[in-house]
Amino acid sequence: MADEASDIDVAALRRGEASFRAAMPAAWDGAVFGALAGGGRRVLVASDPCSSASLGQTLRSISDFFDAWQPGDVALTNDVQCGSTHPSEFTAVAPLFSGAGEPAGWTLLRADCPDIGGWALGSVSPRALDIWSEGARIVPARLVAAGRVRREVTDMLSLNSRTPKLIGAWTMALVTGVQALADALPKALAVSAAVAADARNRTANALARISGEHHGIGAVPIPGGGTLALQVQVRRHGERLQVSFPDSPQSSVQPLNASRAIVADCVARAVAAALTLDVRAAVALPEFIELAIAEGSLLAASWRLPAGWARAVTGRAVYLAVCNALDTDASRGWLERDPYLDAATGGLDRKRSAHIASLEMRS
Amino acid sequence: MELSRSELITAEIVRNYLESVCEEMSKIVENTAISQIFSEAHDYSTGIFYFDGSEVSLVARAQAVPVHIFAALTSVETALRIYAGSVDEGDLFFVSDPYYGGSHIPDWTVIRPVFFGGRPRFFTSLRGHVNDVGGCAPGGYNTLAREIWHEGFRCPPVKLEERGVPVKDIWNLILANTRQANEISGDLHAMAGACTVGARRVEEIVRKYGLPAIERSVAWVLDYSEARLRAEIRSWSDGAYTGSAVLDHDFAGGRDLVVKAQVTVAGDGLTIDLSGSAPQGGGFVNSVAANTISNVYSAIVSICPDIPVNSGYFRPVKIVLPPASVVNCDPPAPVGHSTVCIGSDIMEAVMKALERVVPQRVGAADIDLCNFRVYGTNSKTGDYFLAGDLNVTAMSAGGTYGVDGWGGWAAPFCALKLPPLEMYEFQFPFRYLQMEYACDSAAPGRWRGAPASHYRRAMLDPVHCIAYTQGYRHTMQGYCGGRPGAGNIFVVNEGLPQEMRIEEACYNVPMPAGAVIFAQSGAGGGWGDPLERDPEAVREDVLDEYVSIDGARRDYGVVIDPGTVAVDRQATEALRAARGARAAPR
Repeated sequence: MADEASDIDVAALRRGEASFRAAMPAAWDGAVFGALAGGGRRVLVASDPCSSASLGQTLRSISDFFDAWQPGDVALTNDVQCGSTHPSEFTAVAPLFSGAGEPAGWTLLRADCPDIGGWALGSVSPRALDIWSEGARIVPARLVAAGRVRREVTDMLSLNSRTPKLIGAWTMALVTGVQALADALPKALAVSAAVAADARNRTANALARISGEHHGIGAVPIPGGGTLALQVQVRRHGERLQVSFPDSPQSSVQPLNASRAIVADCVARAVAAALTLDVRAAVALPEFIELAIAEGSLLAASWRLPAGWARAVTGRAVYLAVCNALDTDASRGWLERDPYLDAATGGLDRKRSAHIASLEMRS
Repeated sequence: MELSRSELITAEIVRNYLESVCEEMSKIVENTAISQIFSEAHDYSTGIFYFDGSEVSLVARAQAVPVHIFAALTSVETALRIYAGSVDEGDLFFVSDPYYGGSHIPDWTVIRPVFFGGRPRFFTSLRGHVNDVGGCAPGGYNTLAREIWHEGFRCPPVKLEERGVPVKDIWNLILANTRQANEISGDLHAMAGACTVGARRVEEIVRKYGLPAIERSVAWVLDYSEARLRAEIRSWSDGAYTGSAVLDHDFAGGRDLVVKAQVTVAGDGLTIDLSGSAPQGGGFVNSVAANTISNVYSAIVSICPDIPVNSGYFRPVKIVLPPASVVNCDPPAPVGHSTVCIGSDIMEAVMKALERVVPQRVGAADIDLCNFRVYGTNSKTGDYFLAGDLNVTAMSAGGTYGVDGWGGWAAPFCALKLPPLEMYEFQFPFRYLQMEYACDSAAPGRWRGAPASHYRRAMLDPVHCIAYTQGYRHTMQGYCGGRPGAGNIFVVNEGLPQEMRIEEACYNVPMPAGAVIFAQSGAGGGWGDPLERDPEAVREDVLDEYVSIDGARRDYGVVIDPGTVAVDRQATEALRAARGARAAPR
């Protein structure tokens, strides 16, 4: 039953994502990921299961913020303190109900927006002094209230974007997509406990294949010069995996600062690649990963610090280090997506910038 | 409008009452806000607006920063337009975006509608400058801004409260986009509270006199101010008078930005045309229309300060603004500094045009703002801090007929207060080394400008600094033969190998613990020929060390005996006679 429900769920996720794309200009090619979480706010299935740690944090942040939910609500955030991996990445969340009362589950849709302000188009720049320099912080905001789009929130998004028309379309596409997920996924709620248990069992069994202590190094060029190198230790302890980063660099004036959620995502991605976990199992990985990171270091940085490169550079370094430790081909598991950084400038690469500007003009 | 004698008395009571309500709102904010830019510097303004169903009018205001409350009228109009049909009792509106009737992003406007008969009739409003609005530079003054998105979080008209219920996520969105959410939350609550109390006071007077009597009084008050200003203008000579002012630079490589004003007096009306002003430029000195209009009005109010200020006052004034210009810019032009730079130049250009119309009333009405922000971690508390300091720009008062420039800002800005240096030292890791007048820096005139001030402050903790200045090359002008004021300058990291002399701006410059910033704030121009200044007044200036004995001779033609410090009248007369023959005609 869990298998069948999961297959249905993954197909439903794809349909929700397709709804988003259909609502966008045809040439928009930004990545989009859907997910389903149960009433306990555990992510049950996701088209990018290795984002379940950060998706879970986003869901908890949003659901904790609002006192009450109604059918037809959609809320969103891009805030790194709320689980976003970088400031141009938004997650929309919609509650699922099976009768009156509290939500029985949640659908999530995550995508990068074209622009939300800051120094440069695409909202990523090495000039950022802090998180506010990278663009508008959209902390949990109710975009749709009981089916009615809130003008205040859409106007705020438009005003704080260099691409107001495109972000307008993108916002409505997010709403369409996350609501399409809500329509397509109610069956999953009925079997959520079984789905979650199945994922845990499969993950636990896979993790048992890791034994001993493993060390690795991951290095990624920093835009504009230099290299970020991270060391990692991976050790299985009972059914859990302890991952520590000795000599982790201090937090940075460059937009390299990562949160625990991003680190958890990237560790999960590497472990999933090493164990060849399928999407149904990989979503449970964060429950088995213990991170030992010094607070205030680059990998558990203050949320006030700039984070535009957190996924593309720091996260990738984490991923490479863990792949190296587990002796895994790193080319298989990494998902290359927004923001597309220019290696020299650290901003959005020219082709992407031109593409976004062109779409805005044509909107 | 004709009122009976008793109605006239009622109208005056209503006018004064509403102005006292604005004062009360102002006091509430002063006493309850957290940030010292509110509680000590008083950088906010209050007002009450009336809506007759089709038009919004400013009815009353407190002593205010004038550019705030005039532009706030446009914010009220915009909120009503956006929320047409869905303005309810218990609503509280907020707006900060300059292109929605704001001035610059740090000026936040809060508006509370007051209902009678099921319709919003009055609005209590408060516009205040908050310490930080997110964006690419701490403190809201991004010297590198080339677009509005570099300046801060833009907020369109939104409801902070809907039918008396706080809209939680909107509050949170606004405050999350400041670097000092805790402090600024207190400020925003103070603004909201003041508007709420103001609304109650309006309800009280309407209950007492009845809405029809209040509305007749308001209409009369507006007509009265209009009639007074028209009478004033009728006494002026018809004609077209031009003035101009030049802003040093636009922070983006553009230099010598000219603001031109042609003031046409025709019967009982004025037209003020700013055509010929510089096109909008790359840096953050572009002014939105509402800000420009505020500054034009401020100049006129300075000329006729005894007429109650409300929308009636401005009915005789028509303003013409050239499109896509530095005085009427289009988005996404950055506007962060425009409330004072180019705003002061707008005021100055209008004032220079009026110099030939009402010479005995003109003088510096603007503020030649240079300022800086420092930010870092306060080692005493471990907390992030961000602070500007208005004491660095203390002087802008110039001479006017009968009055020397006093030690502080020009009159329209006197609602702003200079926070005590001791309070800065208490709250922030600073130590002040100098804050005093500079000898021989006051603009000479029959009535001189205020002396320039010299300011030195040491940072006790490492900080970063953003500094920005104008008025280095084009200083504040004198009037009717008075000389221009001294210029403004900064020196950052004074005496250190990394010392920087700032004639325009710097961004995010590190200052180690112990580093010093120096500033000269130059003050307004003089009024009238310095050779006509009373020699005894010059002697008093020498005794006060505003003017040296050499300066007295050089600038005023007054010879003072260095031994007795007495005026040598014969020598003075002779010197002045010799100079007077060569002096340019006034």
